[in-house]
Amino acid sequence: MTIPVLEQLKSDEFQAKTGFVATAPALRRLLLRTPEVRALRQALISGALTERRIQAFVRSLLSTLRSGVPMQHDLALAALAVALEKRGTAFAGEYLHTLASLQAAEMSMSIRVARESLKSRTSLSGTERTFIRAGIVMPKTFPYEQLGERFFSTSRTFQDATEPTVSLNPLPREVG
Amino acid sequence: MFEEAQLLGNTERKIILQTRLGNTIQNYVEVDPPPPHSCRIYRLFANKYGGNWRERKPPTGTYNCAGHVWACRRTTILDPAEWTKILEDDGYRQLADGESPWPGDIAIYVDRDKDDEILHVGRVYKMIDGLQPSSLRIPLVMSKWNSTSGESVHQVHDDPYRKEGFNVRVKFYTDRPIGAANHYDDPGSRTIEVG
Repeated sequence: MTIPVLEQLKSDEFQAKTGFVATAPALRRLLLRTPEVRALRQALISGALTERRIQAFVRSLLSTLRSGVPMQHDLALAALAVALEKRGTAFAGEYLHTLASLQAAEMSMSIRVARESLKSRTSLSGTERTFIRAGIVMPKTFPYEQLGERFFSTSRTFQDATEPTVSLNPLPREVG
Repeated sequence: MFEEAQLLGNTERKIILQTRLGNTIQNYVEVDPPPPHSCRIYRLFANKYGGNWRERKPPTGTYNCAGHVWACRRTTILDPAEWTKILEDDGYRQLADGESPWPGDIAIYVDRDKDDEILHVGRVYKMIDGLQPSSLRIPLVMSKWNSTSGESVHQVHDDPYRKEGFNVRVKFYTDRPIGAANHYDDPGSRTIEVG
């Protein structure tokens, strides 16, 4: 099943209008402004898009990864990082931390955009500055549920998230 | 997630690159030649933004704009903080008001909305006449937009950043000593190219 808000990240048009940017901080700012990333964030907030769908989408993108070849959909991974950066869920944290920890020339921009997104996330939560992970200085973000009542906790995680249903449990929401 | 990428390990091939003062510059050598999908995307964005650009070189890997200007097309330097380090360590100075850029100088594109963070860097290739004889001459800049694009020659303000909403200002930097601009500014020579 294809999800339009995800599939449009693979479009030539999206890649052409974001692919010229030379630095990760600038690319992150541009991605934040794009209708595609805004639509992604809105779909996540409304529940129209689940983290499980994103996970499946990422797996499909990574199936095209080949050693020594720049990844075709690197910008899609970067866009997802930006869309997830304000989201206080385990899935979003894992996505950003894992992507940011890679050192793959094939995914050079998405990795660096994820690092920028982590910086932004850390400044949002106002937590400890850095820690060393895999030899890289990385921003550290505490789990949101440890940050106080303003960040509500939820029993819905990306592993057990199902399609949107009517539920008394609040859906994961954006913070900041 | 990302197990496939983790299995690749560290594939960022680096070269030793230092500033004049001996500070290390982080870099990685982009894959060359770029794959067909990268070339196709470059063609699309060149069509979208570069109607008046002239292509010096088709899509190529190895280096990006900073690698083009500061590393002799040998590697990619992605971090704008490294670019600033080079400007400081290598003795560049910003051109003063009223001082004309000269071929070989550097055009630095900065984001006014982000404390002048550097977005892009290109090398001034040529000065051409303005619209009228009394107009200021216009710098043509040679740019490589990213690590898989081609090289383009374009008018200094004909860049994709401002078309995508960035609040861009162009600063010119040079390694020429102060006062040298007057010496080089020959009013009889209206078109000047990189030697």
